Amino acid sequence: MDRKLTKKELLKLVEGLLSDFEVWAPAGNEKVYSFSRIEKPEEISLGYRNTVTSPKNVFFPSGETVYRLMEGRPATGEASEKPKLILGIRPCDARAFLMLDKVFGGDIEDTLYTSKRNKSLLVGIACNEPSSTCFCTSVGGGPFSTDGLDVLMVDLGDGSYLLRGLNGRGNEIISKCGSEADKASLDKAESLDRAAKEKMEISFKPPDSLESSEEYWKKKAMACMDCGICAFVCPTCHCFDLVDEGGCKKRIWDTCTFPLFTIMTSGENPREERRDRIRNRVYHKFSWFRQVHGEIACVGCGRCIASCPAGIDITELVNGNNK
Amino acid sequence: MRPTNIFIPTPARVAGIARETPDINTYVFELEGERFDYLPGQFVELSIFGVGEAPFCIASSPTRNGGIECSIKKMGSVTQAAHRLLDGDVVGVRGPYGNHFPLDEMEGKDILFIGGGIGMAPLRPAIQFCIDRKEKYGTILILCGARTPADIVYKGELEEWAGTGDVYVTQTVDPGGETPGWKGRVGLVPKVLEEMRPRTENCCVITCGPPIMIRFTLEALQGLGFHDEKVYTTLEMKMKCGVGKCGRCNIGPLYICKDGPVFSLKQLKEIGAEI
Ligand SMILES: Cc1cc2nc3c(=O)[nH]c(=O)nc-3n(C[C@H](O)[C@H](O)[C@H](O)COP(=O)(O)OP(=O)(O)OC[C@H]3O[C@@H](n4cnc5c(N)ncnc54)[C@H](O)[C@@H]3O)c2cc1C
Ligand code: SF4
Ligand code: FES
Repeated sequence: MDRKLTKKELLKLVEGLLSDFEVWAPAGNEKVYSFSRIEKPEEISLGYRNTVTSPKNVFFPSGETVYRLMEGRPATGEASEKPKLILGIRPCDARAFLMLDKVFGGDIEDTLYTSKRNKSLLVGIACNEPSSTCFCTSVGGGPFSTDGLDVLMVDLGDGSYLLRGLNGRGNEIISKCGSEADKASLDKAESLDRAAKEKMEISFKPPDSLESSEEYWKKKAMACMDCGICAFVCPTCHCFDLVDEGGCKKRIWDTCTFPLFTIMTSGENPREERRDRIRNRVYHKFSWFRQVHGEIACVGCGRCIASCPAGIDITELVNGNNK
Repeated sequence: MRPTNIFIPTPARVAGIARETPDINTYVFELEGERFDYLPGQFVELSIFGVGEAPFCIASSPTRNGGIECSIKKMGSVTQAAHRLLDGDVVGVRGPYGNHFPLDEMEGKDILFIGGGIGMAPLRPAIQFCIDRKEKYGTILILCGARTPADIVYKGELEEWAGTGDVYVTQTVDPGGETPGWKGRVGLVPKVLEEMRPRTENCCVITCGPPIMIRFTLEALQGLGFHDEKVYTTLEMKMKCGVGKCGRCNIGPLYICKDGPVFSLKQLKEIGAEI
């Protein structure tokens, strides 16, 4: 289903969604840093390129309570929440959730994640203007990719939006707003899609086998400062720690690039060297996840490239000496 | 109904504590609520509430009807807190996790168990399992090593096993560790193993112990002519979730908590694990 909405109609749609969903959207004016929970439609900012952090915190918060201790035992009783809706998510971030679904779902289901993720809706916004660090088209996505989305919005540039319902639930929420999209709008969306793909500055084919030499990884990892920013801004990184704090068991984000991540009480550390940690992170995404799940666990959002204080570029690590 | 949160442990009561060595105790935990099925080689995540969680292999066989037993060596925060547990205290248990020793495939064969120190803990459920179903297995050889006689775990049980028909137990302590009256062997495990000259024909091996012992034991086994696919050991990596999600325990694409901890020497060579 394709609908055409004016900005005003879009705000009205959001107003309606707020009563049924917990709505998360990019919010802020000048520079949009992150996805926040919004209370009013006007808080949303759709004119951004990409947020500094990914929306993974909506289903996988940087810190969350696993259970609380009551009289020395775990107490449960989770409050039932409204289903979550992420509005204005970029196509790359939506694809990332399909990957996190594989990690947290599967035969041993992690309900901390799936209870938030199930029944959620993803309303994406196509990227008319990819950033210089974007490379989604190299890893199976695209600026207008609909993978994982329920609705894709396209900013038609004239103050109106095309909303494309991609499944029953997506169609349901947009069916009553705006008007049916006319041919001109559909053509416009198609030309924006083509133009966006042409604007992508980075393009490569991930090699089937990555560089494996110790020398190579040592050289590439030299500048890394173990800050972990790459993993924290990454929409597919899922490492975490479980800690006891103030009578609660908590789950907090962690990263395999931290030197103490794998250290055992005996002092032994299988990934003591930085080269092994950087190699582990890149191999996990571009080789091992592919072996296990059939796809690369990188969606090309480019956040790690934009955020790394040491200027490390994952596409260079992957392409190695072949580039 | 929504499936329950996998990170919430089942409360369990301490129903027995045995002092094995100066720094290893064996605890019997009785689960409140449903007991779970498991096989020798699997492990649990044990919670000491308010302190933390750590993985321990289940040191008792499902063929015995007691609770879940764990032998715990005092190391850091969780294991030290475990050593302060008293009878009746409540802990948390989640699991069972990981794969198990292929004891079904080993039916009809002789089995050689080689354990060092706390490395006897994962072997114990397998030994109990085979002894309880002895008609299904051939000769059972057990080689148990420790630094000193005081550091040998399951002392009483080793005697008991040795008194079972077609089960042979050899105990050894490190050179210099022997005390007056020590009746066992003196020598490092790999050396004693070579002297034992076990028959390789129709024999499988399960070994576990400190990394250095494992390295030389695997070498000795190869020297004796054991095939890589007949030799099993367990890998130890730092763990948190125990279910292949937290990203901590992988070697290449394998999560040791989920795809292991039991591997054959053949598999270890294939995945390039350092041993
Ligand atoms: C599959 C498996 C089975 C094990 N079985 C036994 C057993 O039967 N008996 C026994 O005494 N020990 C066993 N261990 C080792 C035991 O888990 C560690 O000694 C223990 O985690 C140390 O925790 P701590 O809190 O005392 O130390 P701290 O240094 O305070 O450790 C903090 C946390 O890091 C993690 N961690 C640290 N070291 C290890 C490690 N070596 N392995 C896994 N996680 C670690 C744990 O979550 C631990 O709680 C086993 C380890 C694994 C991986
Ligand atoms: S962001 Fe850069 S410096 Fe920081 S951990 Fe990642 S690669 Fe290393
Ligand atoms: S312990 Fe979390 S992945 Fe293995």
